[in-house]
Amino acid sequence: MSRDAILDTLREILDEVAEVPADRVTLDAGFTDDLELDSLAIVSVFVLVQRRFGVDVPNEDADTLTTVRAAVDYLEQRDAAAV
Amino acid sequence: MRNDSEKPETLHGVGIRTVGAYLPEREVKNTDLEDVLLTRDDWIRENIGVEVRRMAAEDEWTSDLGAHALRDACARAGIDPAEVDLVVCGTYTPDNMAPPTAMLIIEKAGATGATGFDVNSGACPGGVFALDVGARYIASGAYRRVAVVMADVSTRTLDWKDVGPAVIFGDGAACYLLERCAPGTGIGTTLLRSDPSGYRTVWVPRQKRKRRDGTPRTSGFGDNFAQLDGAAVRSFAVGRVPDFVRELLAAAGHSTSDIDLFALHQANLHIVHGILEELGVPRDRTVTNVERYGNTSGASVPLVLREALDLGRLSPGDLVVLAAFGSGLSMGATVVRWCGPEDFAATAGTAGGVR
Repeated sequence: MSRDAILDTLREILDEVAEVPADRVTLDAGFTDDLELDSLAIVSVFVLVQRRFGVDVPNEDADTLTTVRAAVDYLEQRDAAAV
Repeated sequence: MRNDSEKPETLHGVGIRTVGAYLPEREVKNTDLEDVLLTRDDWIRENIGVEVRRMAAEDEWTSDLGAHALRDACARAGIDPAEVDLVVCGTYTPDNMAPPTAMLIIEKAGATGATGFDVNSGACPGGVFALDVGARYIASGAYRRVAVVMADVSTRTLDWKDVGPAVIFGDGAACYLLERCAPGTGIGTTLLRSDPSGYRTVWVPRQKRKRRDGTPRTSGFGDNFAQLDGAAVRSFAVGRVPDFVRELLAAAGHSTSDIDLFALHQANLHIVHGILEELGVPRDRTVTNVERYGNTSGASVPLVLREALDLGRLSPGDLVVLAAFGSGLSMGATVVRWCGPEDFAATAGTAGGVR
């Protein structure tokens, strides 16, 4: 999956969980600081990430993914490792 | 003018003779919620403290839960529900907007002959607000036996797409059975406070909600949906309830170390622990049930008392603080000198109330 495709899917997830407008979901955006998600919403985002990408994201990994870029990098690596 | 209430100067006190309880049979674990909500069991345990909650069956409503609790309270007292004079139902989830849910509780529990009405004091604070209303009818001499039934089907107010409230609430009911008791025992100083500036902190507003495909989303109460700002609720509860309890104890002439049991509203396990920590009270002086029942709204405080009684953690002569807080934002607290059978027997021969 390309980085653009991963980002698009993350935008869909953030829209579904918290109705975050797609243009705010930039690589540098932080889930808490910029997108204003609380911890409950972040949990929801990663539950959906696991379902959509078909990967298991352990809590200790999810806790380190505080920006959109970190999440895209992580999912890209996981995708590559699965091939 | 503040509505602080000192214990009325009467020839008798107002005692909680028994506490009835009813929890619906159906258990919903956090892992069950993972199937319908975007959430995780471990997050709920760590942040809310709930592991499992009860949910009313399809055909069970507030009056069903309340009637069970009233019957249970009467059974524990060894009386027939028909011997109850007044039923006060504390609820924000009435079976219907009118008549009061108390009517159906009277009918279903067989409390024939009782007068009844509802008190909506904003869900969670009801554990003390509705109790205070019922207690005043005993104190005035108007009634001899009052059942204050706290019952809600909070899960019917949920939008199952809104994770915040959905991981917190559970359904349940409890019943304080109030009677005259010996002077100097029973319900003592009671304080009530309301702050409407927090009206939207935890509430059940009417809203038109739609699914992605444009079709309406509804709760068990139509366009009414439970909604809360978790951080603001926590800040209110842990920030203001401890001082409120200190104010109560000062007014009653007690210190925190005099109190044998703190029966606190089960908003969230960490809120309960946070309040105790602020008060400098060890956790072994409370009983919690939010882990097993979720936040049962106004029933949570009497359910704590019931469990404390069953565990042998509450005995005649003990001093208990009851504190309920939440939607309003409102807080209610009272200090009770727990009564034993002899405290009620002492008033058994006195004249009856005005009916």
